[in-house]
Amino acid sequence: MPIEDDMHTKIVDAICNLPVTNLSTLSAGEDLYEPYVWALVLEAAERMGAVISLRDRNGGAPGSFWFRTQPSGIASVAHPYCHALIEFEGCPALEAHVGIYVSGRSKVRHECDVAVLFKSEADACRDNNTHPRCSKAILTVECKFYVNATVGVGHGRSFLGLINDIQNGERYFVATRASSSVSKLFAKHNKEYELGLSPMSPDLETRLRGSFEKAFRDFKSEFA
Amino acid sequence: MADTISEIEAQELLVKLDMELRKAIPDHLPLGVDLVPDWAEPLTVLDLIQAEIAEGRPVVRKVRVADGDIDRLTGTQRTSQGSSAELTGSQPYTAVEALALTTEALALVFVSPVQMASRLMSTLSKFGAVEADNISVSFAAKKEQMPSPVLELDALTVDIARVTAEPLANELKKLSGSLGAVTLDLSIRPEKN
Repeated sequence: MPIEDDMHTKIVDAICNLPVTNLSTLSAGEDLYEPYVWALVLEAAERMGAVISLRDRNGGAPGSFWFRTQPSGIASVAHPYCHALIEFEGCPALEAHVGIYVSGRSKVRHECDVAVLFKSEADACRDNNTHPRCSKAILTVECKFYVNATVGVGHGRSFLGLINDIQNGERYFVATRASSSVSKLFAKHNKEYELGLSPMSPDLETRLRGSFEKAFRDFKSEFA
Repeated sequence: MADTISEIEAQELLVKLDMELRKAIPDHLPLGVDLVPDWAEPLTVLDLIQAEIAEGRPVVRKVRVADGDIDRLTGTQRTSQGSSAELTGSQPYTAVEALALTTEALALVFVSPVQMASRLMSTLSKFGAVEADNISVSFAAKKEQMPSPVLELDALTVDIARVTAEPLANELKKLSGSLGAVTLDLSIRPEKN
């Protein structure tokens, strides 16, 4: 498809008309990326047969939906943050959260952008104002929204350090930009990752959701 | 007429885009309105992606490295051919590749948030058993003790954002299609449950 002579003008005009909404800023992408990945996790759970409902801290149905933009404790009462209750028949109930801390093997707290954990653990932590143990998180996802892919290597290295402390298993690293350096890093360490993930790449969405589905399949098989 | 954009066309478009955007953004600054950081963001995106383009694509080159010229024991010249090593370097992006990176960056920042918001609203409506028109989403400030959210979404906000972003999405989609790489999905239609 050949380009039009005035394409640059059309693009510039379209960009200049953008800032009238609050979804046309860099921070909007950063804020939305984790809930977007959380939504993919819920889709995967549903496809594996889960019954899903949304809850607030007190277990009620939320009137409005609050999300964190910075990690905080699962017991935080700063806002009525919502989470998803995931129920597979015959299995312990799970919860999916955005932006919470979990405690690692070293008892140091770590940030989890998206975490699926046992409801029993979440309840105990809410009652006692503590962080869930990483061993009770069946799936975690580190989500990075960045424009410049070269910064991804640093995030990738941090992630490798992190998962040493929160145990191997279903630990994923996802980022908006593809980077051969980060790919090599994770491939060499045999880690789960999806780079270039955004709604602009539906094939990658499908592949990642499939990986999440496998995680739920394995979880279900433990209790079959 | 070629189906894909040529190196010369890509280079021209990159230059025009950069020049026009840097010229246009300050002209659009609304006087007395405290929106300067937002209005300057297209330039931030350009700067970020241009920095990546300037660094080039990381490549690994297999090169032969001499073991050392002089044998320390005998003081004579070594006859060894040296050893092979994989060294990391970079290779410049072509203009078409640079344009593809720029297109992707602009779409990522200005179109994908609308797509993600649509997806989130759809998910909340489905699993929260709430009509899409009645959903209200708040994103807490980085300091969560701050009572006001940093971002609020509802069906109307997302609809407005969708309409506003559509012209850019259409142009970037056309451009992406002419670059010969993987075409980006820039559809911003409402999500269906």
